[in-house]
Amino acid sequence: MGKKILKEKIKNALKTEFTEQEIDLESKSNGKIIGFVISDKFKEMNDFDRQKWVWNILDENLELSEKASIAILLTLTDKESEAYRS
Amino acid sequence: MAEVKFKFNAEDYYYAALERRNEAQHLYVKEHYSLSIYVTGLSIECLLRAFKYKKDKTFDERHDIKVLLKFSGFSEEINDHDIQIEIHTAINTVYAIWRNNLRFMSKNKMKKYLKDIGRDKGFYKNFPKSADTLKCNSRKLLDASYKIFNRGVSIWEKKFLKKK
Repeated sequence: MGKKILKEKIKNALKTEFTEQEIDLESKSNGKIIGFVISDKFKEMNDFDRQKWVWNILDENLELSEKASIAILLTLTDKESEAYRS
Repeated sequence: MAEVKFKFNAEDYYYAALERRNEAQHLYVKEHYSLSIYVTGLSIECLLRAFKYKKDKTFDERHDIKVLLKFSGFSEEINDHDIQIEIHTAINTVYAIWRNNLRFMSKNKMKKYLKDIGRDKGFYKNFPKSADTLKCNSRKLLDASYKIFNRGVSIWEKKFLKKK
């Protein structure tokens, strides 16, 4: 599967719970995907529950080999993301 | 007069990472929580730099965990799904809390910063209400770093340490 197609498939899976603006994915040169889901839906959720939520969505929508192409998806609130950029 | 230049290789970063991690734990025990928070994040930065340097020897002066994650390939070394979630959770904790400019923050400034990003003591349900915000975050960050280091050291030893 091409990098672009895989990225779109991951984005579409995440769009079942998050808006397009909340998802920021990047393809690495080796085809792996790295990215962020930045949403206030994560407010007051601990890091494990955030990751579990995102991975449950991916488990339901992606094949094993597609999931293996995900290097990492960081899950942040708006404020955490904003503070990192400042 | 000859110019003094420091050059770092992957092993320099790796051994610095191990030292910083131990120092962060020591700072926690001595109740220097704000400095422990900074040094824990620094230890992770050193570890990621060590992995990155094995692949790409160009020096990057930025202290950006995302860039280091991207170019180190660290998170890609973990294939087991359950362990992957555990490590991604730990990296998420580090990314959410740590940034390089924490070193300039007084205790009060850091407390305010943690409150502003929503990580004051109330965020961590398993700490008593009376717990100190800096202590909670310092503990959480240290716990996250142990998970990252356990995996990181194991990968490093397998891949890069020469068998005697």
